Amino acid sequence: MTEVNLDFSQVHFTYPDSEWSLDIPSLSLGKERLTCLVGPNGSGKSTIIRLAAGILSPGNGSVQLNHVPLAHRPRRELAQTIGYLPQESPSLYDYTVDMVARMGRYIHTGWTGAMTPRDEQSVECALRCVDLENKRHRPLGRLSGGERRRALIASVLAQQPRFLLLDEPTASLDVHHAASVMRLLSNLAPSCPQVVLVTHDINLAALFAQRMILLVDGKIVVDGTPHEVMQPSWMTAAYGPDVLVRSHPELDIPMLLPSRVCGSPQGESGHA
Amino acid sequence: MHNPGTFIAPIRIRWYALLFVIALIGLPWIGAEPIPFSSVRNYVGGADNVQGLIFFQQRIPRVLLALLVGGLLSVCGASLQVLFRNPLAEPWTLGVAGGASVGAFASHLFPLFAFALGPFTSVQAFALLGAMAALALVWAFARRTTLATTHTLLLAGVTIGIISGGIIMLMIYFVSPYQFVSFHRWMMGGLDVLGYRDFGPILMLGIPGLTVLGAMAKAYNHLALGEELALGHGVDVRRVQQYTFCGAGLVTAACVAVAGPIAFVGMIIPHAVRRLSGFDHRLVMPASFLLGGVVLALCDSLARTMLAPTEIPVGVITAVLGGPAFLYILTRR
Repeated sequence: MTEVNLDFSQVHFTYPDSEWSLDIPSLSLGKERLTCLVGPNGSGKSTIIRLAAGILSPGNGSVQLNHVPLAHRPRRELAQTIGYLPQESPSLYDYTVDMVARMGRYIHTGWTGAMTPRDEQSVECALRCVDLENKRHRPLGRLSGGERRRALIASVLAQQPRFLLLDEPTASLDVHHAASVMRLLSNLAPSCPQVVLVTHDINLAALFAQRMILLVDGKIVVDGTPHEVMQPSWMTAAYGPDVLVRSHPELDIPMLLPSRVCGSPQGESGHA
Repeated sequence: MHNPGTFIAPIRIRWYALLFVIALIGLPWIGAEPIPFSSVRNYVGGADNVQGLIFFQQRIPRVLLALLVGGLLSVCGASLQVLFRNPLAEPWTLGVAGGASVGAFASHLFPLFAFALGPFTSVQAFALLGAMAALALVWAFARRTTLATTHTLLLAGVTIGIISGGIIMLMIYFVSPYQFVSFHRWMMGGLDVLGYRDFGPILMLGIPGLTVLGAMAKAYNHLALGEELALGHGVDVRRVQQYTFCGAGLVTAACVAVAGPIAFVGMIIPHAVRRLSGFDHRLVMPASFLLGGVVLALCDSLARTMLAPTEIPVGVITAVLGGPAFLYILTRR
């Protein structure tokens, strides 16, 4: 199995008609099993992941997959290696779970989309992975938000990419389902060993990720293990003074908590 | 594939095909002039008679043309609905048929540019030009995402249609009264053909267009599921959009140049098919072709017989019957 490397170099990106910009002098993704991009709203998390998936192309600099710029690779070839789940995917029609999972085989099937036993197998595997085998004939419109999310994850898994990029896979999920999705994503190896995802839920990221990247206002503030990133100083820099960092009651992992009153003294929040 | 919302099994392609064959065999017998089977048999045997002549030179070509035009328009509508993510999209509502009409009309008005390369004449060329111009215009509008909700897009399309109508009315001032009558009739959408000479031009543009759109069927499922997700799955979304563009332009131009603008068939048929057979476009596209052909052929049979011996243009029938269906889909959303 070859390792997949996704490298950003001197990337500068702006949206048209906007002051906001994203600057990434250098970033290499893909060494760790699960990497989480975290940060407050508007910090550029989604933009990074969309650049990495080749949905957006950088104005300056380049994003390279194994030393070849993404822009130079055809979409089909890119999808062999990289799977991408966007934040929102409003479907025009009410496809069934099964159909959605099968769509993940786009690059592996011919123009009729006829499936070989190998294709069937990976669809089965993906549905089992997200625990939707029993609801495979349900249309998307008759699923809960979490199930819909998982159905879309199944379609990306069926694609069998080596590198998975997900934009807010746990958005609008309750604690239980969010954790189960994260558990699922952190256990994908060896079929899909590298996962990078964006999440709002910094605690969930700290629980599961090997590496966290904290973004504030289009810049990477800190990049390291959960312990390195979840320092009170970084947290207040990103989320303001009204937050506390405390250790998880059962695990030696720092957690971020909101404080009830404004301007609570951050100094006393030293964790292990 | 399981079909949501209904409890009956989804209708398979072979039933659409069966319907198509029945229409092809049965509908030529319907019309103002009753055709006895014996005269057709005699005609085939070599004995010339009027009924046989009507059957082979008028009825059959007309039914064939209706099947073809209805099919082409419906396939085009199915693609445009996915491309624009709009359930009301079709060549007519988007103003593409209007653009093609202006082109076809202009080719008659300026004999200076007239040419003919086999079945490909200036009428087809100008119709194609007009269709592509209208498509480009409405697409440019749709891409400005802040403006283009379902209804504003529709307004843009209808406006392009109105502008096209205005240009045509202006052009009508310059034609002779004789031409005026034939143009006016053509603008209502009619399938009254004699013989098989119109099939060359329509197949010339229609077959490439249909092939391009048909080849995109698998990708349309992905496009419908979401553009970014489609990119992630490895679909070259841009290329699918460009091909759809060209295919839709070709098909619309092919139909309009021969039959004039025919409303609503292209919008309603794909909806019916999705209701009956689910949302997999690998089935929706061919089924739309078959069902669209059958429905237009039926409408045309109605047009031939309703006020017999007078014939009504089929475009009038589709507009009167299709309008309420359009309003229904519009309000249901």
